[in-house]
Amino acid sequence: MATQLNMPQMGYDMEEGTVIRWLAEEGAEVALGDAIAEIETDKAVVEFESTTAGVLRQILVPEGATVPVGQAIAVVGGADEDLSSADSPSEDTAEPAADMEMEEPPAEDPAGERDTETQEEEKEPAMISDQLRASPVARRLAEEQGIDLALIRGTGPGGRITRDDVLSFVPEPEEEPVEEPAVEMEDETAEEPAAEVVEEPVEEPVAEVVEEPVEEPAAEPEEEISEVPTAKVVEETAEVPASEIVEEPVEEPTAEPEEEPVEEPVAEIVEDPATEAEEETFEEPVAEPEVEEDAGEMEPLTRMRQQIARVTVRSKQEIPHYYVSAEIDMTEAMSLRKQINKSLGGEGVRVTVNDLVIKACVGALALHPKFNASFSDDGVQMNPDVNIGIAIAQAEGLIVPAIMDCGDKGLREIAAASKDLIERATNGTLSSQEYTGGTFSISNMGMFDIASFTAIILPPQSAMLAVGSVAERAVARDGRIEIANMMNATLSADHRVSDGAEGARLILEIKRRLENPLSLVV
Amino acid sequence: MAEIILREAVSRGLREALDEDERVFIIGEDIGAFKGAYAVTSGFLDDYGPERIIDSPISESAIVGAAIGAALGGLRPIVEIMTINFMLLAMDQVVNHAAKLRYMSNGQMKVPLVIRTVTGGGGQLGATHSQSLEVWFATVPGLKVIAPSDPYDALGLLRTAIADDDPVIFAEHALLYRARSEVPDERYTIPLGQAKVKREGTDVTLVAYSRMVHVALEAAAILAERGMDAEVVDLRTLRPLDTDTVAQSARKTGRAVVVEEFWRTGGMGAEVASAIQEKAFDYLDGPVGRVGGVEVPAPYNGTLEAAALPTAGRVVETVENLYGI
Repeated sequence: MATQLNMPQMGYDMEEGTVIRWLAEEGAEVALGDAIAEIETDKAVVEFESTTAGVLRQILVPEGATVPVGQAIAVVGGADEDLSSADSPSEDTAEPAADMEMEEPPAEDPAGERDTETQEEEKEPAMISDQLRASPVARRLAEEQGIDLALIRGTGPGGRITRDDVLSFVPEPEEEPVEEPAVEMEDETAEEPAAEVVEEPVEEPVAEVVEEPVEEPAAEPEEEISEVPTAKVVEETAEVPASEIVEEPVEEPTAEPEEEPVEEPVAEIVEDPATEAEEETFEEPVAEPEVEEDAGEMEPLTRMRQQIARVTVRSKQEIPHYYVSAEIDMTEAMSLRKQINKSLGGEGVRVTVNDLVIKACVGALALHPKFNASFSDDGVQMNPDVNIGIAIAQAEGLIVPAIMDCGDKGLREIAAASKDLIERATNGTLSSQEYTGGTFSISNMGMFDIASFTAIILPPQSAMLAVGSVAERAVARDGRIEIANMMNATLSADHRVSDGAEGARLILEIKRRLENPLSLVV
Repeated sequence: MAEIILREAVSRGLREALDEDERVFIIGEDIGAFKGAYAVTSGFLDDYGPERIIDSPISESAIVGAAIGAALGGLRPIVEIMTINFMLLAMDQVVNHAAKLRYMSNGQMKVPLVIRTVTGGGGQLGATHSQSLEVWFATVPGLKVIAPSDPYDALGLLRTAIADDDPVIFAEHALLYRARSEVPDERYTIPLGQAKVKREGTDVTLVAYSRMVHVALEAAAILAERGMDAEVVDLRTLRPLDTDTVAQSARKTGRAVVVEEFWRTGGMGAEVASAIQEKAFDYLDGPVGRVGGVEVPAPYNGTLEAAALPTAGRVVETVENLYGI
């Protein structure tokens, strides 16, 4: 049985991916786990492994094409197998391979031909059914009288051609057939994707403007209108019928009480306006940059910008954030760090302030596991591992990859892992697990002169720590003013998971550890 | 020929049977001394005596069981179950015994039993006393189910039911006992499984039975004012179901809406609509419509109950929405 390989979901919120390069050719033998393509997600380029063994029979998506998660990109099967019954291992995709969302490959692409053909085939029956929206009797009468239904304008519900439409039809030989709305729609469908051709990512950044698949919630059908009208106050009838032994009510049976017709929930499927709106928004910048003189330049959203917009909006909409701040005296931690780095000498590893914060957080999270958890409607999922995400500001935008398995790591290991993570973030070789596996995150603006700020939690995590710069401040201590290296930290936490008092305990534990830094190395 | 009400028609049919056939007796709750919950058997106890007009204990299973036994033994019992809602207590006797014995004995036994019962809502009797469960019985092979809409049909069909050698459910609508129609003095019968065209029309077929026939007629009157000539078909018996008459009408009009008081899900309307599309597909000018009871347990509150039942207004609206008229 041939197996269809689909665009994998390689991260939270990933909705589409781009095939950068095919690593195997059609006809090549592939083993289970063989990398057969490189796929670019919003944040990384990841190797795509075959989930089955066999011969790579078909490559369905050309290099450079972006397709929604779940769409078939290749078929692996026996060497001579009939592919008509290719089995899709995961058909539960959010977007059922809608043509609209598929970027057409550039015209000169050889693989493009095949795709176009497939679309032609699918288009055919839809067109027929649209053109011939006619009642059974209308069809029969038209056939009997030799009338082409396509020439008749339907006046029934939804433009259906009814019996009367056929009977009253007078052929007008000179006139052109009236434009069929159905045909128009068809044309649009055919042209739409072509207008959004995505060029090779190497080229102009403008080319990256891609139509986003419509978000799931928008697609929800309208709520059904209840058939029961709201209760009105009714006068009591004089007679109260006895339970079972009842003379029938006096009123004549035909005397039906007057009432308003109850609404039938029939024609309620409403076109989702989001689809159109979105299309327009994204088409515009591609078309022409100079729209009006006064309107400033419209900067198209990069893929990453879109992703950040999506994730942060979702976080702020879904997660009730609360914030707890603390001032942390880093004087001792700073001097310990100096000693450690001196002792590490030329080993190539240096402990940063952030590494100290990570280590403190890992220890504190072990005591307060609620902050290393994810909220769901079924309950709070406690994460067995502690994977600390680090917010990294890149030119293109913010990413928060995670240092995996921090629970058992010593300070030096954390420092090494952190350095490695930042390096690989720069050259784009992070794994999808590192992108999505974080369980608690830290955003550190220590490199700027920032006193304090608050962070937006990265779902599905339940907390994030925002750390400001370490700076000398005057602090009152035992009735005297002293100079100390102070740092502000603010915890953002999901109120569905924890309460403020618990957040306070967590941040005070982090503070205690940083102010007694030996605990970080013991 | 005289105009009588449905209660009188049923009463007359029962008296005839008691007069004509010694084997006929009636058993049920409060049918004798109390003269019947809906006064159908008023005076029967005096005229026929307690041996033939039997006031039973309040046990529907025992009533039907006793009647089945009597029928097997050669009598021709007529059972009155006070309302069809209480038939649930006799479900096993009706479905597993009355309906099956002839088949399972290869015809050696027969169960000439009539169960008269009261169906329908609209009388503010609450959720457990307002159902139209004749539809359930109409799904069971081995049973025959009658639901008349006027006195003429009630009498003609009751005669046929009593003469029938198989168990028959005879469902009288609680709000139709005062329905009137002309009934001939001379004896006539109406065969089971024959629908009747109550109103001729050319533009749309409204299919209904029991009280909904009157709702359909009312809707037809409204549609007529709007220039649409509706034909109303009364099913009269739900099993056997006369789909031919219905389909013939649908072929003529090209449009059909089925109206019933039962909940829409799994109702007779589904069966009728299915038959229409099977037998009249090439003649249809639009989908077959359905109007049924709103899918809630019947509300007690009068306004809400009225809103839960099909009305002429809903029928008209359905016709207009479906056919764009």
